Amino acid sequence: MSNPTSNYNFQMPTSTDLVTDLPADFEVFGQAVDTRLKALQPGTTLGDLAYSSSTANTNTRLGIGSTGQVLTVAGGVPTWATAPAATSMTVLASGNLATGTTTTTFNSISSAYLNLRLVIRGFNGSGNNTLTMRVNNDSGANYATYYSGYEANTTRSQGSIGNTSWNLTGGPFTGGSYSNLMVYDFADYANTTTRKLVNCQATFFDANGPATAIINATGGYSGTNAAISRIDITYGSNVNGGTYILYGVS
Amino acid sequence: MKIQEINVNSGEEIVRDFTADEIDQFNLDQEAEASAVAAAQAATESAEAKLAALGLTADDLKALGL
Repeated sequence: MSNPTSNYNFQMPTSTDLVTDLPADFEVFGQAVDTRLKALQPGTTLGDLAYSSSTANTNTRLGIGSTGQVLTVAGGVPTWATAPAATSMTVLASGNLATGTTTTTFNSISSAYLNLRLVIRGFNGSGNNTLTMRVNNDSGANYATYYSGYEANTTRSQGSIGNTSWNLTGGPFTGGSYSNLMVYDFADYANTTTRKLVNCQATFFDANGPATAIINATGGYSGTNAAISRIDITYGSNVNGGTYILYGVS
Repeated sequence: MKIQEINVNSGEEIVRDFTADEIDQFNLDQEAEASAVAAAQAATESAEAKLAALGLTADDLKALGL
């Protein structure tokens, strides 16, 4: 070992020091070690952290944050900050699709959320038909659709504009009891300054294809900039079953 | 024909008959949807006919990743 030590420059007794000087020499050595250790471990409280500072061989104490805070960086050093809000999904409505109906309407939808998600599980109808959707009870030619997927034994990718509703799932569906699933996401549905859009993912029993169709579709709505407060889904035949869940996402 | 109305705010849910206007709209929508489906089908058949004239099938295009 070098003397003084190579990293922290601690001075130790040498072979020529007088034995009577050893207590004093060790006091100097020990205090230097003690001071340096404290500089490297500045914590005082349970949970404290230490990080390297701009001063050589000296760390800075970062006191423990409060419950729920997360460690982040500001000004080039670590710091505690309030955790970003986690995404939460609130069930706004849920239940069974009424047998014998052709249209299900969700109205009086609150504008208090960032996004909406509508999940339709186990949808089935009494005949082979298509499923369409409207918002805010607008039957004008204000709906555009682009979808891609595999349907009717064909890989599809197509779009259309100027429609009076969205057909986001292609189809027709096969009538009968099948475990179809559709998930519709309405992003930023409550803003009042832009057009609206929806993204749909669906898999269902295809009347024209080899049993399974998978679709990923985007719908655009250009009627008004109003917040979406109503959603209608309409099947060409009577609904035979299925459930719905409408979530508010924040 | 019937409609299921769900008031998301109040939780109230009713099933009622279509009004006359709603029946008219439903019929218009179905005609439009049938036309769209027929147009898409016609486009598909037209494309398949063109392929056949070239001695190709849709499966040939799939095999090429098209």
